[in-house]
Amino acid sequence: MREERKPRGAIRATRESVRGPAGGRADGPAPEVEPEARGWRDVDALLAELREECAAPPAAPGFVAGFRARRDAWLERAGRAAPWRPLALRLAPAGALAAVAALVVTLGSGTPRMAPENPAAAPEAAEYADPFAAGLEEAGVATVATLDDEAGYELLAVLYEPMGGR
Amino acid sequence: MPAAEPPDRDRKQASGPAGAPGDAELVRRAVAGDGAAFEGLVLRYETPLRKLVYGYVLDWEVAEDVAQDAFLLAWRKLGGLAESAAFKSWLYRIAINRAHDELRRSARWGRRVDRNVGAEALAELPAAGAESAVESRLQRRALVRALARLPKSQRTAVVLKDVAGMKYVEIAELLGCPVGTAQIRVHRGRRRLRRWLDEPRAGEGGGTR
Repeated sequence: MREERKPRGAIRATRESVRGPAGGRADGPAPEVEPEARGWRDVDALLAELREECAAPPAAPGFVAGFRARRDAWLERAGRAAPWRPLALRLAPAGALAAVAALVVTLGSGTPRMAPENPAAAPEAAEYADPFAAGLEEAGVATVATLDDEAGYELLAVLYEPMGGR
Repeated sequence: MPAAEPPDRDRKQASGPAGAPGDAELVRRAVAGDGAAFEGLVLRYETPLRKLVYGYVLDWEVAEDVAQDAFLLAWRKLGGLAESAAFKSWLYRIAINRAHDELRRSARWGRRVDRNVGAEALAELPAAGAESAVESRLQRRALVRALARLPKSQRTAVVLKDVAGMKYVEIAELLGCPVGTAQIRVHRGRRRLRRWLDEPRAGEGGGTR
């Protein structure tokens, strides 16, 4: 079970012979050596020391009370979070973003309007002199000024009407 | 050896002391909503769990915190435990995972703190006793850091064997591996610890793994 261990005394003797009897500190000011480099007991001795401590743990009279406190705190948090949970579960991040965007658009545009069934019934659309519409045309993205063009009208209805219709 | 006592005692506890319900019965009752039944399990495993975690963090207060956390997690997930008789191994694994997390945190923190605290303390308290106390503390922290650097499987095996004092058979059962594998992990873990702690500066560099 146990591994072979070097005699502890031998290891110490070797280290002392390297560092001197007091780690080289007795003859003058302490050298500028970091504490970690001063020398170490062997790992087995350190582990044995820990094992002894571990075998006799201090009493923990408040352990169960501490567990209860954690459990109650968790229950309280879970209870507070519960009303929101169904909504949070239903709304994925993308869905939540889309819902917020839809809400903003709805509030910003006032009464929702439907596009007229007959394009000719909305002659004002052709009169809009708007740099955005002109830009669209210049960029060749869409035709927006021709009421005869059904595609252009639809674009006006979607992008333009909320601003120009008022 | 006193360190060998806990597992034996745990085995008796798992089946329940004379007249007391066993783990499986307490788990069944706890799942059914009996809070007192789970607290019975807490009382039963509080000490072994604190010892187990102490092997990682080397601080009894932290060990108590981590063990309570492990119990809380176990309580929350108890319904998902497929086999109520396996409660002990399951609980230990939860605690080991939590202890790993804590060890990583404390090792990161300790790397910064050690030099400052150690150097200041040595400068202010040149007496031999104080120096030895500080050195002992530094050695412990170095051990924590070295443990944190071990691969998880070796770290767990070394802690369970060399600090918690478990037998190889129990370690193998807990980790779900053959006994030989547990022995090899302990051996390799010890070898690395020796190398790193004998050459602390080399161990400091990190990034060798």
